[in-house]
Amino acid sequence: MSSRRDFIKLAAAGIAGLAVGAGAGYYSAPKEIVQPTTQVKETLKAAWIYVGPVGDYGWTHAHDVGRREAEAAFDWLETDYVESVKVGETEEVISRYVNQGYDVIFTTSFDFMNQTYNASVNHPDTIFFHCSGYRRNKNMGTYFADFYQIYYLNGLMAGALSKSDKIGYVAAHLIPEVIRHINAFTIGINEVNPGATVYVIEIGAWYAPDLAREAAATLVEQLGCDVLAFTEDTPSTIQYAQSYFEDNGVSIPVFSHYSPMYEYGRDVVVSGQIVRWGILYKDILAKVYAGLYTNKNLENVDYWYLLDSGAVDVGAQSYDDELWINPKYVSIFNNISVTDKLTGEAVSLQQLIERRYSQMRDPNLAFDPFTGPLSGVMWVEQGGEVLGHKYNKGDIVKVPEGVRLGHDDLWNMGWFHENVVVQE
Amino acid sequence: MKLVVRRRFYKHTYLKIVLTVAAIGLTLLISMVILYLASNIPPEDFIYAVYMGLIDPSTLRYLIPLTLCGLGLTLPYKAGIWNIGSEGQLLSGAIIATYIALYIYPTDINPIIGIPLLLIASFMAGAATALVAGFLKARYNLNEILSTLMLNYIIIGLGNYLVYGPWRGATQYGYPRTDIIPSQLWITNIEILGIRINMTLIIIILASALALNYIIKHTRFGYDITVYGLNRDAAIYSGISPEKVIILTMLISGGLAGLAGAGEVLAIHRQLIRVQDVSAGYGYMAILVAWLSRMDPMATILSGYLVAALISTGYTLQILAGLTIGAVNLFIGGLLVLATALDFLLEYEVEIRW
Amino acid sequence: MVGIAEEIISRMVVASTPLFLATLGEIYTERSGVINLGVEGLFVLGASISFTATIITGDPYIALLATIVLGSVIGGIHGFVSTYLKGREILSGLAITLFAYGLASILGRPFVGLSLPTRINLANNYIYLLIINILLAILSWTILFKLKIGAIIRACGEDPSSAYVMGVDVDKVRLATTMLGSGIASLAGGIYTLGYIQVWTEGAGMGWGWIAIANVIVSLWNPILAPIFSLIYGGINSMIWLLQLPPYNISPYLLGTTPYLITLITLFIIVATPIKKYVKPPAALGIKFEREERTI
Repeated sequence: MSSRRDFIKLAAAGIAGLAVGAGAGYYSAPKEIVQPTTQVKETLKAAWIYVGPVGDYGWTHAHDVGRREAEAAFDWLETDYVESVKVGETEEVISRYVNQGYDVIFTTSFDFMNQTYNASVNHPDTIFFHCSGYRRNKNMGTYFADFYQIYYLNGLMAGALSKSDKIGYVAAHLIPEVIRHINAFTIGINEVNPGATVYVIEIGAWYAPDLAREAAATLVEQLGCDVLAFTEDTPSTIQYAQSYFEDNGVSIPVFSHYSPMYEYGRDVVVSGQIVRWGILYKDILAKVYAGLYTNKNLENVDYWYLLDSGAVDVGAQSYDDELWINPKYVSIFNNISVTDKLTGEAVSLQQLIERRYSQMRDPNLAFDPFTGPLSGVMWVEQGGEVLGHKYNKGDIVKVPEGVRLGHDDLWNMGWFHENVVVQE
Repeated sequence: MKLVVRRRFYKHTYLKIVLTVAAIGLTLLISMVILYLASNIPPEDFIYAVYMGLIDPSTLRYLIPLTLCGLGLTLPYKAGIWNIGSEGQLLSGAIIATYIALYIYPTDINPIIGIPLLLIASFMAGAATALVAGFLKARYNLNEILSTLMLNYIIIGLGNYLVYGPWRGATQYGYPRTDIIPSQLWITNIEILGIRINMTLIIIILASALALNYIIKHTRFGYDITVYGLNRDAAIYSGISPEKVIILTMLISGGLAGLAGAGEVLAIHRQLIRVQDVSAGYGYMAILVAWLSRMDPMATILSGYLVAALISTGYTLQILAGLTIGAVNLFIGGLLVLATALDFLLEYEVEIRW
Repeated sequence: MVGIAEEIISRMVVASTPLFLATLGEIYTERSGVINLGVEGLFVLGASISFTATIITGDPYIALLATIVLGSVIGGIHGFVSTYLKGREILSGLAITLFAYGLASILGRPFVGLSLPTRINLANNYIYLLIINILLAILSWTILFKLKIGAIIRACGEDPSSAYVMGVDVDKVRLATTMLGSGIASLAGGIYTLGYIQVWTEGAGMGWGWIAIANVIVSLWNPILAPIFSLIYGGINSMIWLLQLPPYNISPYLLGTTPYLITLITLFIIVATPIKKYVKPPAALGIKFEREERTI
């Protein structure tokens, strides 16, 4: 801070002249006005670059909750953020932080991938972590907390609750992550309700409460879906289901997404997906502080946090670390009898959910939803690979019995489960 | 005491400058006071943020698209034609540049021919988008504010259809973005005095500013535009063709915005991404750029620089003072209101009578 | 099937109401000769204030009242600049939109993540809502075309000099209608939040104001016609979604452009077909009222 005060005195003299001859002042202005303060590593300064506003109650909001959690946890940590950063302006904003002496920079959007990579090349002394991408550098790691297991567990619930055997899904954008979630959801649904289909409507925006609401209404009122799930950054879909319940007395069970959204629909929210980015951020920052992560060794650091990490969970009520299902639905699930396909036992649905939950919390991953036999259709225009086989658009994708999809198959998923109804 | 208001016959240039500087200064002053009172942000932090905005290298990066679009808008705004569609025109330039670079361009062509070809194509794409609105205005008198606005949204939709559909890149792991365009077609930044700048586009900006300045001040067409903007009926009576004024000003402004789009793709993104992310709203901010310059092409470079510094200051205030993005919009909106309001003193003289 | 048709009509009416209201407000403003592009921002601002105020006061109707008041005050800035100060109203309107975007974000942010304590149920009462809208349209038409106050407003928009000669304070009337239109635009944003989407997160309501401004032209500056395009727009908004699924398979990104495309095409039809002889914008729309010398 003191450097800034000193600087003010200097600047005050020249500022009037600059305002007029701004163009010329630009070139002659000394570049080294704000030197990074010499780092004694007594404190660590970390900055977050957000793609959206903190007030979105979705993606950016969740990252900011994680940032605040990390800041509260470590007294040696100083944090800051910039929100609604435009993709084409990311590199400049990163440079600002580097010039302010920040040690670690988190960029929390896939869209920032190339910009973060360029910044990592231009600022080799700074540590970068990019969320949800695949490009790394010696000073740039990647991290992601993925929901597909949670969506599978939500699918078990959805499949059992659907009477019409049609489940609606409001998708923001059909990118590999969302496709993976829709497939996992469908796999869960079909495990307890083999004939059921999932109808997907893509609204073409991460943030669009009115579009999400209309898409949800279309799924329910025109397509006859009686359970809803969604990927969109507002509670609009839940609010729709809750008002539908209040107005018509018909319950459309719905699953909360990203942030705890139970309050928006106490009568209709079954459960949902919760992310706790704080767990990841604390882990990364503690390791940077301890000197385990440096600007030389991040080439292979890729966090892919699943249910066993605690960074993602089943729930909708708070960020608490436990399996949470609306009590109203627990009693229903206790009375539904299903067969565990792994053991052949007859159990209640609630037992099956708890069993699968603990199987996936086990670091050895006793169960994974993306295990064959699975069958679907390659959907993306350019085709893609599954288990090393190349498929063109429209080809039938088969995963043989007992075979589990690997990281890359999940990461680049471009095919839809056969029971998904989606634009072709 | 009475205030008597009279229209000025002659608008002094010095008054334009004084009032523009006053609008900017007043906005900054009011912002500083509000921030101090509301968020307890010390005035010196605020001044520092503004200074950083003026000297930060990023300012020059924002200046390029802002000034290109702003330059284009000087012509239609001078003629009283409200093209609000620079954003969409910029994006159509970006879309066409990507398309040609990825799908049509023979990879072994020399970039010295290739890059100008791409720039010409994106100029034409931006011009064509603006022409839709210009034609509807000239032929049917369809309100250009609305048509250009609607076209912005339509272009975004069309572009996203391509990026999420047929153009989704084979090397992008299924993510909705096109493949990277061949590296020989990138516009690379040149380092001058330690600052990386996009020389190609800077030269284009300077050349366009000179050309537009010449058009406005020394050609019959420039005279027509000015007269048409001042008094439409008189212009038509004196034989000026409104169609020509509308179509040509729209074409040029759209074309320059299209160039800015090519610049964003070839120099920054090197691929087409979700279309609304290609530009950071530069087409909208350019309205402020053109207006602050009072539609003087040479002054547009300066006003482009100031608005770029404002964007830069917005980021600094977020970083230093924890300001939200909403506050940044508030300042920019406030500045535009003040600049418009202070125009009163340019158009009228106020006399105090006791 | 009757049920489905009813649900679609109900969605159509609910989605059209905010648009209709914002259009109605702008018709008053434009009838007096002022263009207010701030409607876009005021709608977004209204969406935010109504939410914030409902949470604070617990009463959505008090919240809507606060929305109207704040909206007309902010809109009044535009009114003042474009009447008394003779500023360029296109710019000042755009500025108000940006300003209101910013204010909406700042006011709403502390309340993100909270749900409305109570909401206004429009979907089940859509028939009454439709009747109210139509009555409002008729009432506004009566005010504008049958009452003296309407004659004064229209005189300011058609021939301000004659209005002045007859003793009308043109700038005052224009300022008043701009504030009225701004208040109604904010109210429309409030109805959008409280009655339609029923949640607020940042950016709620963006884009609706532009459509409302287009709808003024489509409605030929006549309140009676304002509900028509609003309903068409609401209907399109609720019905396009099926078209992306088989057997239609139209890209959602292309479908997403339909509201804007339809608006543009409707504008085109209005100006390029024989309908155009009914397109009579107020003659002095956007034109300043000037006097030789005046005192303030």
